[in-house]
Amino acid sequence: MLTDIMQVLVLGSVEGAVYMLIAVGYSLVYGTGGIMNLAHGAFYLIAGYMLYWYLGTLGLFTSVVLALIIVTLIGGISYLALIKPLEKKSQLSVVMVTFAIAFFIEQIVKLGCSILGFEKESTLPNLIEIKGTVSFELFGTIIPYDYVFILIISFLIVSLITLFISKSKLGTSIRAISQDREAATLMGINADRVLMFTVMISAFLAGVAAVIYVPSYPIAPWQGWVILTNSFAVVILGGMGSLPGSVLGAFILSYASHFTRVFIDPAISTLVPMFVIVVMLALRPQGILGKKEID
Amino acid sequence: MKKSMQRILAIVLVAVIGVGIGAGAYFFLISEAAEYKWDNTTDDIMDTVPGIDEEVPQNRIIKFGVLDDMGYITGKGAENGARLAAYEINTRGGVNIGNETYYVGIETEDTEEANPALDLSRGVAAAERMIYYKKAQFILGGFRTEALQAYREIVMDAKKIFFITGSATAKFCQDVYNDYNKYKYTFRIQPLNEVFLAGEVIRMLAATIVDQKENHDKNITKIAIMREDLAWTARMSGSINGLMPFFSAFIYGDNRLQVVEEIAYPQTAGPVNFYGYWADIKASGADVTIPIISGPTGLYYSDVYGDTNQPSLSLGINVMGQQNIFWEQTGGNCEYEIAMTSFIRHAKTPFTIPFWDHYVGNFSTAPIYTATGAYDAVQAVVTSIIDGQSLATDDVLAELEKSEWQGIDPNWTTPTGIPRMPKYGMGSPTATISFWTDGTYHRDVDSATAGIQHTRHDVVEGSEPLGHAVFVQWVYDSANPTLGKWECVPLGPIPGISDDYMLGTYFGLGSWEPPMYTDQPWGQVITANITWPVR
Repeated sequence: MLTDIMQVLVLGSVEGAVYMLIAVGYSLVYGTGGIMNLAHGAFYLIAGYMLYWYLGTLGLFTSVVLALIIVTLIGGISYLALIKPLEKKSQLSVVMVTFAIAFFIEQIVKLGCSILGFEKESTLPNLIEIKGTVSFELFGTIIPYDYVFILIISFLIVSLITLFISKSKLGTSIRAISQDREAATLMGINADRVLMFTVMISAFLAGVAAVIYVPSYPIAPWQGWVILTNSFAVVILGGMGSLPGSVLGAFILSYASHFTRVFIDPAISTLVPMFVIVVMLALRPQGILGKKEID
Repeated sequence: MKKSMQRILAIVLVAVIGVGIGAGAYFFLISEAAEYKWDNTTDDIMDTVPGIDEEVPQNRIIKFGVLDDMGYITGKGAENGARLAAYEINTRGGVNIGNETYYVGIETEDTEEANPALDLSRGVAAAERMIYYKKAQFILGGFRTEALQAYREIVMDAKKIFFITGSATAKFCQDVYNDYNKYKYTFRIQPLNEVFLAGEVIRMLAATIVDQKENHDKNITKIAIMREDLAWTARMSGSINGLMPFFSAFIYGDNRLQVVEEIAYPQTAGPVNFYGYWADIKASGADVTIPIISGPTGLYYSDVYGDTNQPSLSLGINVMGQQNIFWEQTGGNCEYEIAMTSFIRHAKTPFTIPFWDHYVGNFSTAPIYTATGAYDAVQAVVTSIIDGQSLATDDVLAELEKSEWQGIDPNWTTPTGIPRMPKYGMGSPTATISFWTDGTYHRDVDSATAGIQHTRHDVVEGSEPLGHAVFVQWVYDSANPTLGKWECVPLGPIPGISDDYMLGTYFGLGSWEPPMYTDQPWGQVITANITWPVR
């Protein structure tokens, strides 16, 4: 039984780590600019497909770099061209436009597959293979090397982002805007520029999540919506705008989901994120650690 | 009001947390409950260990897990086929390994992959539960590429042998060749992959065209394709479209044979949509419509086909049409439809009729392709366990991959005399258990490539009667007007057409013999001429 629990913990940890990356970005954008970015799952999607499309011709390293650059740029362009003009008008417009971006990216992905001659849904080869094997066994638990890589990269990136926000000049500006945008602007901080960088960082994080996770989990055009729903549940649980809350929420939700699916019923596990969203919004809308400003 | 609402929700939350903690304690602290138990009490075929009327010690059960949409015919077929195999093995005395007797157990998990609004995580969750909680040692099932792709990763990561029993996507077995270390546990046992399925459809189409041209002075020139908008149907359609100019050149000497209409419809399409699709096909003047449909929408396809008095002949893949109740389901609207199936009740191999009768006797329905796939998968694994005297995955894998076929009847050889039938195939109702071991698309084992360790673990579309589909036409039965009947329509040989050239050249398949039902060693198939729709 202990082996089973360990196995589920491993699976939950990996998915938790991926959602941590995605949710931290999501929370960052909300915490800084109050932007409810429904295109966040689509950022994951486009990065995953970039890797898928380029891997065969450009190799792993170049494909990853290119995918991350493109998704980061898409984040920046989305903000400048579509979110920023609507931001001052109404929040609803921003939500609607990010919704449209998500749909647009989904269609682009489908179109891209048709034009480039790729299957819409696919798996990618494992990233790491050692001595002809793709996994190792630890106390009876099978652990693919890719999982270890995902955990290391996720925590490394989240640590670096946290460090960046707390120590860098841009990070200080992000925190200042999240606390009081008007005051920060009066102090000479260019809020639009900072928000653009925030959306870019968020897109980059979603991109990293995609390039490390896609070799372990197939991609499909509609997957952006699942990613969005789950990351939404994570930030609601952890607290909108709280980065530690996102980390906590990602792992709680992932473990809950995996334990439910393995030991209770897979059908119920798909309800877990929805249940979390509904209950948390009704009882504690600010989440477990939630506060508006970035911490 | 708000406060009382919050109180209610708080009570609900506390209750849920309480139940969660209780359930957690139940699972993790009480050791008896912690382990999932493969309970068995009766010898009922639907019980966990079919055919055994007592509880079997957990470590004496060979645990097979079926992953499929259990609410759809593919899942039910896979479950039933696996149960039938388990029942036969268990009632014959089980499996002896060393001095111990083991029995075959069957458990299922629902992946909901037939759901038009597919949720990939549902199949993944089912696979995780099957492997990590129910502890299945061998996995079988799966039919929808998109879902299977996701949950196969879980099965491969857990290093479990996985027999695909319902998906034609070639990539699954191509992965075995391309990334052997990761995917070596994948096998396909049903159906033929999409490339060969396209070949089968094309051959049937060719036989129909020639038959109509020579016997009825009817020139078929316009072809329509109606398919689910899915990856495997797109590839199959591509193959059919690609072959069309070859056919046209051979049959007519020009390019008049063309695909005039192709409809790729979403999984969410309803009956109303099909009226539109069929109207388009009728307007295109198509002589033959090729369906490529595996999901429940096949029912709408056929229902509206008859309802709108379509003049074109329907000929292709419609999994729903493989059910013996299809006439009843469509109220006779499937009349004239020619559907591909793995086999019917005929002596395709010595085991076909006994299997069919035993299946129908137990489940009161005809077996579809996933049923025989699952049946064959259980038999193949169990035979490998017996031969290798081991339950260890890698030992079973090694046995499954063995190419020294044993006990091969001289008849079961390729045209060049090279045996390609593995030992398990002789027990297969469909005779499609042949795995490529040469690592190429060639049908015949090539001495130049023999010895390559990599394999695709795929089934072979072989020379007659191995590995070929059967085409049956739904026709009115005056003796049974509410049920209708199947008539097996002849597939070949095709006069004046060189299959070797058309398919061999196009796919680089090498030479092969066209199927001839009348040549079968174990019996004759009742064949009938194609009945053209009278509209």
